[in-house]
Amino acid sequence: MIKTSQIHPIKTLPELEDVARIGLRHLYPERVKLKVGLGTCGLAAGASDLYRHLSKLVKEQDLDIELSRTACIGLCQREPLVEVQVPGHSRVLYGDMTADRAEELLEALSAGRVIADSAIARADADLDLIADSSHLLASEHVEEEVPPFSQCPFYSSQLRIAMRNCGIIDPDSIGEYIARGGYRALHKALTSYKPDEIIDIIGKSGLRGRGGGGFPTGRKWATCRKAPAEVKYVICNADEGDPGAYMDRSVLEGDPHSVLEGLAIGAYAIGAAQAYIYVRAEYPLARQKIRTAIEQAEQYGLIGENIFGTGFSVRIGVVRGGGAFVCGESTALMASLEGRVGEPRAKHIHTVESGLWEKPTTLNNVETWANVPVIIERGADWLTSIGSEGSKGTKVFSLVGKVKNTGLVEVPMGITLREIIYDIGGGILDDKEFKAVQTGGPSGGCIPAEYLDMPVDFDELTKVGSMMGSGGMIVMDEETCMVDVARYFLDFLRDESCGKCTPCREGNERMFQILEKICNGKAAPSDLELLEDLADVVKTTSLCQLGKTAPNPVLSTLRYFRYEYEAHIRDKRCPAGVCRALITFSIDPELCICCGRCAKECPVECISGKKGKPPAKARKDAKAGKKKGKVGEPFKIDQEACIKCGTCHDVCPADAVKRA
Amino acid sequence: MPTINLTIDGNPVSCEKDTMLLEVALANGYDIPHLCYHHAEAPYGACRLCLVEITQGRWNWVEASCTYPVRDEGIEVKTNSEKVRRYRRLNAELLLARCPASEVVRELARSLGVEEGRLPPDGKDKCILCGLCVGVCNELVGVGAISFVGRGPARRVAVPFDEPSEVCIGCGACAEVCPTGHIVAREAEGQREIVPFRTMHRLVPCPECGRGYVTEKQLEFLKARLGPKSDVLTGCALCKGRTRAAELKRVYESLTPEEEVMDVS
Repeated sequence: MIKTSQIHPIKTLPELEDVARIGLRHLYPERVKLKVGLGTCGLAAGASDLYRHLSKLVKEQDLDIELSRTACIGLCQREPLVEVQVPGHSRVLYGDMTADRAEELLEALSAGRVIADSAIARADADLDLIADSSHLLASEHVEEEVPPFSQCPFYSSQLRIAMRNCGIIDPDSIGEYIARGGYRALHKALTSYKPDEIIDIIGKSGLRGRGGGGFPTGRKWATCRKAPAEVKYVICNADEGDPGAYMDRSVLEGDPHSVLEGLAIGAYAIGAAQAYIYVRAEYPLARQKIRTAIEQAEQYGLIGENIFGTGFSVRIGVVRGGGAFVCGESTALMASLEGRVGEPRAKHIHTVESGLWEKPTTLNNVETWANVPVIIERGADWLTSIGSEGSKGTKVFSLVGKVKNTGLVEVPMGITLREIIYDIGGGILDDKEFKAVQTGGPSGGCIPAEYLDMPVDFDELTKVGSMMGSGGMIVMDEETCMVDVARYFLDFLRDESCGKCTPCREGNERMFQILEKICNGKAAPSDLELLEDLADVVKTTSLCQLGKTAPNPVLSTLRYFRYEYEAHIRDKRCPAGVCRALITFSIDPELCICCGRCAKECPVECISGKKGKPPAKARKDAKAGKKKGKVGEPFKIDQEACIKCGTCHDVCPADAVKRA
Repeated sequence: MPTINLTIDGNPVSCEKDTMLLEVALANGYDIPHLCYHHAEAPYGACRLCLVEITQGRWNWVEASCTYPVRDEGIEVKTNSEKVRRYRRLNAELLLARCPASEVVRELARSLGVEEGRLPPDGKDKCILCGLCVGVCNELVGVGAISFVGRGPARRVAVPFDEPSEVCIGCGACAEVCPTGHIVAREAEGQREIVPFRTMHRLVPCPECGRGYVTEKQLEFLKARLGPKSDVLTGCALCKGRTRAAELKRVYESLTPEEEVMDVS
């Protein structure tokens, strides 16, 4: 660590390089380094205890090992994740780390071995995206037994721009960020470019807002710059609220300085001296990391007055969100930031003209800001070489649901859904059939199998009735009822509607009520028409984008899975066997092996029978002259008392419990 | 302010730039239903009944006219197209199911072609959450006794903790702007009650006729604001009108015929 007394504001590039050299020694020390993934995903899997255990072991055994923290390494499925970096050797990533395995790992390390069978992948070099170079790790020895990241399906097709430092650096170390090329883009922006030139580069790069709408970032900045006003603001929207989406959290937790640097560049470009980061209340760790980062950047003079001696000044403040999904909407966010109720207003006069405190305001989300420094450093042409026709660069997706490898993946736009789900995601859990993928969060749509080969970008997703949104990707298998999915999302949205306008407040609630009726088998055919009318009025006449997109889960499932709605309504049947009111469980007496596990696990004790040898087998044995033993009675479910929880179905070892 | 030209239902109309479309239409005699708009308050855009269809070049969309500032030359506005009627009707159907007890909502729904809605009525109260009362209390009167609480379906207008408000001055402005009759200022036995909020206020009797004409708190509030000019507050409007009329009569009768002619001119 660098002592506070040694810190003085950085004014020149050589001074920045001095700090980079110190940072590099922290990143790649001349002794063994263990990195533990301590992002929220890691903590949830017990990484904090693991870290404590490791540090205890290192101390007890007096090992010459540096223990360090990093944030999300990406493969959340295998948390807790630990990386081992031996000087001159490949760095090796281990997953599913436990206290016992940590001991094993340290033992192996002392013996100079790697445990190949529990290693996920190895890195022989670290790509430095900013400098377009690599830092060689395996200069002396390549760990051949462990596959390289380039052969690891989860990582091989990824290209990390927004997450370039996530899982590599210690987020609390500004030195490590600078060692990876950090704050060079800010220096370049302030010393080599005029604000208009910055906007020109961002415009030409084709960068589009990563928070949902996909609005061209350059155009947004240009309008804000042109707006006549003395005071302007830039805001980072970190109110990531989509269920199952957590890319912004990971960037804030893993690489907070990339967001600060992006914000400072943006503030310079549009002419603002104040920036705010609005972080949702549920992200305490992200707020802590970003606060530490601001403190450090201020100490080094990279945020604050007269940055790099250029006369440009910017302050960055952190604001805790109020815990409402709607505050991710720009006008609601600004209202909340001002201390008013987080409620959207009509946006005919855009926030770039009149936003926060009625001043011109540029708002972008975390991922967008994190992209900015790289674009400034590498140039517009570099970004346009990545991605698809209308969507340049990469997008981070949180791949969740019924897929083998869940986690955060950053891929060039234009990649197909199939590549994401089957190559990176490893296919459907338990090798079941793929049914649909929900993209764009609750306001997105469900895309069926026939579109698996479509390229994923802003425009293509909109064409099939979904959207990019913030990049949530929920994979669903054959055992998912699409009416139930629509009901789930509408339940979320009706609750998160601010309630200001009639269609969103009343319409979403009514749509939810109808979906409940359908799931309970109590809907009439006329309800489907009413549902479509309501979806139409909510979509067309709601005040803000929350309302305008809220019917998407209903509209997209109606578009691709209408037969499921009809089966629920007409035949009172749930084809996927999910909606409890429409299914029954029964035990096939021929298949029942009379083990009694179903009866034991049943929470309402509605299954009866007698444990023992199945009668059929007993008869057979008797014929063969074998000992008869204790004869059982096939188990039966009392349909009146059954709550249809499905436990019997899940525990039956003989597949004798049938769902219909 | 520059002038913008547009057409409403095919007729040319012009207005100052950034005037709200609903105001332009109403000023030009077009009848557009609305519940959450009041000329004295900032437009809020909650009820979504003042929908119109706008065509601008190749774009065509449905918009709430109360919050739509007219900025672009040559937009074509339709106030009564098939599309507009459909969406107004659907929103009216939603409001009717929410407030079946409100005559105003029922009448409005009927005028849009909804006799019996398809949705099961909620039967809560007559509040459509238009926000006019909250706006007038906070922005115009400047008291802030009521506010929206809750979110989504749980949203409602309330006083803090649903206790009779300490800061309410009982002016009754909320009841005055309420379009559906949900908020009522009821007066009996020298007291005024702002009904759904259970706040009671003592009325100050008029020195002339003895009728309560202002609440004690409102009088205090206004006196603090008007300072030395607060004399104008004495006496009820009726008596003040009567005194003024008597005064006028006296002046009129004392005039000579010549003066009378001069006065008229």
